Amino acid sequence: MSLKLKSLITNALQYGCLMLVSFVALLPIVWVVMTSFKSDAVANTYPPMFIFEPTISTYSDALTGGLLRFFLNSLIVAAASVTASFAIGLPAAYALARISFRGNQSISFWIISTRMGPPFGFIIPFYLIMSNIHLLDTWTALIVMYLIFNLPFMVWMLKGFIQESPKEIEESAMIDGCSTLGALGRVVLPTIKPGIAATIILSFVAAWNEFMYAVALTSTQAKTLPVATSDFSGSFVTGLRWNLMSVYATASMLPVLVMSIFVQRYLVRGLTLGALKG
Amino acid sequence: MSEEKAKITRRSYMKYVGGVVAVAVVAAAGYGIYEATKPTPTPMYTVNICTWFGAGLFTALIKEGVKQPLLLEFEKDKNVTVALADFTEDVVREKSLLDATSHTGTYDLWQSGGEVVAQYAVPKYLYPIDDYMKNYTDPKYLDLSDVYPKALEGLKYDGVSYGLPIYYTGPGITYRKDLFEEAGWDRPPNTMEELEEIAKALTKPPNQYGLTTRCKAGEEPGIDVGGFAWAYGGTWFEGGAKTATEIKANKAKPAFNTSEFLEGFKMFCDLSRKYGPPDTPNYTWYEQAEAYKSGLAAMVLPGNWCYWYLVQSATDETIKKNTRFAVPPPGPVRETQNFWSASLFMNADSKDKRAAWEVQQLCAGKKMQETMAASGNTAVTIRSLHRSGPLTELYPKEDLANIEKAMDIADWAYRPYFPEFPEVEILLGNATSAVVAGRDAKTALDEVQDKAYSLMKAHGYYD
Amino acid sequence: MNLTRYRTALFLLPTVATLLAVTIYPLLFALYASVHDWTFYSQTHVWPFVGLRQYQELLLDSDFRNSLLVTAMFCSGSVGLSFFIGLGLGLLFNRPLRGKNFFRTAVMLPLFVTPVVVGFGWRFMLQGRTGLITGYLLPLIGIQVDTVLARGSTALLSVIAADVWNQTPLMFLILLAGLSAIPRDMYEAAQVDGARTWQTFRYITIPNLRHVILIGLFIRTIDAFNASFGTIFIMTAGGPGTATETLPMLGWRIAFLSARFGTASALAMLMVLIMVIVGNLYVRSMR
Repeated sequence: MSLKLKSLITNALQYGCLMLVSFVALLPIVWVVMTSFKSDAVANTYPPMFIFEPTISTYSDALTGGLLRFFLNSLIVAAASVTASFAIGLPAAYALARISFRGNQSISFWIISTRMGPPFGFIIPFYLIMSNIHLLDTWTALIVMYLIFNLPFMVWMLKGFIQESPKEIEESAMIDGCSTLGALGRVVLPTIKPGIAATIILSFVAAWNEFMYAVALTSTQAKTLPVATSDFSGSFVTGLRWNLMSVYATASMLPVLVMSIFVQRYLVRGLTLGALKG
Repeated sequence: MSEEKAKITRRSYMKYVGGVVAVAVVAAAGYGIYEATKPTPTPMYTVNICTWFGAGLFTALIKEGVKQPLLLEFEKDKNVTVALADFTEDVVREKSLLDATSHTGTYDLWQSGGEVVAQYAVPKYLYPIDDYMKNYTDPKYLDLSDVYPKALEGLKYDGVSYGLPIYYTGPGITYRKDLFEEAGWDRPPNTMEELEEIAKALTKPPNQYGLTTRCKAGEEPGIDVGGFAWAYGGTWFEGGAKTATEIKANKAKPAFNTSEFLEGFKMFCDLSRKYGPPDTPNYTWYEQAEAYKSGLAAMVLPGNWCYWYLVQSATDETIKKNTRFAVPPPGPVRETQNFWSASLFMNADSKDKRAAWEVQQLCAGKKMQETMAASGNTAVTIRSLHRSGPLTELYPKEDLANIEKAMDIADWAYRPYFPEFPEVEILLGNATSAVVAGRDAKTALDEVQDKAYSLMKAHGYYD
Repeated sequence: MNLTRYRTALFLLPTVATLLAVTIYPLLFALYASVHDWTFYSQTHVWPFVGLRQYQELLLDSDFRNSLLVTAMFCSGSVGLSFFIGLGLGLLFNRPLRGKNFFRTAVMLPLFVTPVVVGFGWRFMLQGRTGLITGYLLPLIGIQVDTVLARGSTALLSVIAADVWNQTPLMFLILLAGLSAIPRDMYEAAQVDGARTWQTFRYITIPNLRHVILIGLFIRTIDAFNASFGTIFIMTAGGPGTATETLPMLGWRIAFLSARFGTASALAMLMVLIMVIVGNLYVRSMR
C-alpha cells in the first residue's frame, strides 16, 4: 500500500472516529438544549420532534419560578468553596511538595482519603451539626461541606504542580531575599498558572454539580441548581415537564460550558504540567 | 542575616493570614448585606409544609411561586403565613426522616402517603389531632361529615387520628370505551375471567396492548399487587392482622406464600406480563400513564388516581373523549382493593400546633378541594364534590358515581400499617417486578416470605 | 522568633485543621452509630449497643453481596471502558489534527453535565419505544429493542454507558496531558530506528504513560465507586430488582427507606475501608 494511501486511510479513520465520538458526546446535550426551547405541547410527543417552532416561554416560566435564585445559590456556593479551598490548601500543597519531613507521605494520603467517605453515611451527622448551629439551608453550610471534598483535591493537584516546577527559580529568589511565602507567591504561582486554572475549573464543576449534601442541607432559601433540577422527576399533574427540566439543565450546564470553552487550553496544558506525578 | 530572614518570614506569614482574613471579612460583609436586604420575615408564625405534591396539589394555594386568593384570604383570617417546600418524593422522605429524628421542627406539616402514618406514629414523631378534629374544626373550611370516612380511617393508627387526607384514591379501571366496543364489549368486565378475556382480545402487539400496570422494582407494584391478592383472599399477615399492635398480639407471621395470596399475586403478574407492554417491569405510574395516552394500552389498573389525570392530560382527542371509569371486578373472595391517600401530618415538634392545624384543615376542606376539582381532579376527599360542582361538568355522571362507589369500597386494611411497612412493600414490589419479567411466582413469594419473616422477627414481633 | 522552624507546621495547619474539624465528628459519629442499633423507630437516645452485630448482618446479607458484585461490575466496566476510550481519544488527539479546538470542546462537554441531568436524559433516551435511542436511532440501524431498563443485564449496561459518557472526558484529559508530556524526540528516535506503530506504542508510549494512567484510574475508581450515585439513582434507582444496586444505592436505601441508620453507618464504614485499601494499592504502585 502506498504511503499516501495509507496516510489517507489513517486520516480518514482519525476524523471518522472523532466525528463519531463528538456526535455521541454532543447528542444528549444538543437534545436537552433543543428541548428547552420547546413549548409544552411539543416537548412530550412521540416520536420526538426535531423540527419545531422554538419558544422562550419555558424560560420565562422558569425565571418566575425562581431559576435565578437557584443559579445564584449554586454560583456563590461553588465560587466561595473553591476560593476558600485554594487559599487554605496552597500553603499545604507547597509544604508537602517541597519540604521533606517525617509523615509527608502519610499526611498526603490522609488528606486524599477524607474524600472517600460515601455521602449517605455522613449526611446525618452533618445534618445534626448544621441544625444545632442553625446553619441549615444557608450558603455557609454548603460551602463548608464542599470544602471537604475540594480541599483535598486542591492540595493534591497543587502539590503535583509545585513538584514539577523547577526548584532552581525558587531557590534563587529566596537567596535574593525573598521569604518562602514570597517566593511562593511571586515565583511559583505564575509558573503553575495553567495548573491552577485546571484545578479550579474541576473543583468548581464538582461543587456546582454536587447533589446529595445539597439535598440534605438545603430547603428553600439555599437550594442549588441540581436539587431544583431533580424536583421535576414527577410532578403529578403536569407529568414530567421535559422542557422545563431542560431549561434547568441548560442553566446548569451554561456557566461551566462557557468557562470551559475559554480555559480549554489551560486544562490540557495545566494537567500536562505533571500534577500527574502525584 | 537569619534575623532578617526570620522577620521577613513572619511578615509574609502575617501577610498571608491578613489576606485570608481580609477575604473573610469581605465575604462576611457581603453576607451581612444580603441578610439585611432580605425581605423581613412577617411577625406571624410561618407554617412550613414539606411536600412532593407542590405542582400537583398545592397550586390551589401557591401557583408557580405566587400565592393564590384562597391562601391570602386564609392567611388574613387565621393570622398565619404558609410556606411550601417542594421536592421529589424520595427527597421528602429523606428530609422528613432527618427532621423527625433530629427533632428540629423544621417543618410543621409533612405531606406523604397515608400509609406512612405507622412509621412516624409509633416513635411518636406525629402529633395526634383527635382533639383538634373534635373541638377546633372550623365549618368555614372543613366539614368532617362530608369527607369520605374510609379516607379518615386510613389515617388513624391504633384508633388515634394523625392526619387529614388531601388527595384520596381507591380501586378502579380506566378504559377506552371505543376499543371495548370495537371488540364487542359494551360494558366493563364484571369478573376476573372477563377482565382477562377483554385484555386478551385487545392485545395486538406491537401497537396495542390490553392493559398496563406499574411494575418497576420498588414499592409501587406492592400497592397494586396486594389489592389483587386481597381479592383472592390473601393477606400480608396471618389472620389479616393489619397493625403492628395486632401483629404483635397475635404473633401473626407473614402470609405471603399462602395459596390465596399466590393465586391473586399470579393473576396480577400474569395479566401484566401477557397483556401489558413489554417494558412493563420498568413502568412507574408515569410510564403507565404515557402508555395509555399514546394509545399503546386500552386499560389502566388497578387504581382510580389515573382516571382524571389521563382525561385531563391526554392530547389525543379520541382518547380524551372515550376514556371511562369502572370499579374493577372482584376476585373469588372479595373486592379488588387499592387505597392511597396523600395526607398532611403534623410534626410533634412543630412550634405552633394550632397554626399547623388550621393549615391542615384548609387543605382537607371543601374550599381547596373544590379548587382542585375545578382543574379536573377527581381524587378529592369530599363526597359532595362528586355529586355536584365543577366535576359534574367535566365528567360523565356514571363515571362520577362509580368513583364514589370505589371511594367507599377502598379499605386500607389490605396494606397493613406497621413501621417496617416500606421495607416489606419493597420486597413485594421487587418480587412482582421480577415475576413479571419472567421469574417463577412461587419461588419469588417464598423468598419474600422468608425475608419478611426474618425482618419481623429481628424487630421483636414474635418474642 | 524564628518562624521558619515551624514553617512546615504553619503551612499545613489551615488545611489539616479544617479537614480535621469537619471530618472528625462525622467519622466518630458514624463509627458510634455503626455499633448501635439506631433505627427510625428507636425512641430518641435509646440506642442499644450491639457491637459488631450489624457488621456481621451486613456481611451475611445477600443484598450486600449482590451489591458488592454489582459495584465491582459497574466500576470495572465504567473505569475500563472510559480508560480505553479515553486512551484512544488521547492518541487520536496526539497527532496533527485540524479543528482540534472544536473536537476537544465537543468531547469534553459531557463532563460538565449535572449527574441528575445525565440520569434523566439517558433514562429518557432509553425508554422503550418512545426513547430517542431505543425508539428512534436503533431501529434506524435495524435493531429492535423492546426494553432496556427493565432487564437486569441491559439496565446495568445502560447505567455504565451513562457513566462512561459522563466521565470519560476526565480520563481523556488526564491521558492527553500525559501523552503530550512525552518528548517528541523519543518518537523521532524510534522512527529513525525503524520501529512500527505498535512497537512505538508498546515500548515508548505506555511506559512513559504509566504514572499518568495510574492516576487516571485512581481518580476514576473513586468517582465510580462513590460519586456515580446521582446518575444511577435517577436512572434506575437500583432496579430492576437489585440489578443496578451499587453500594451507595444500597446505603441510601438502608438509611432512608428502611431508616436503619446504624446498619447504614456500618456500611459506610465498610465502604471507607474498601476505598482506603484500594487507594493504598494505587498509591503504592505509583511510587
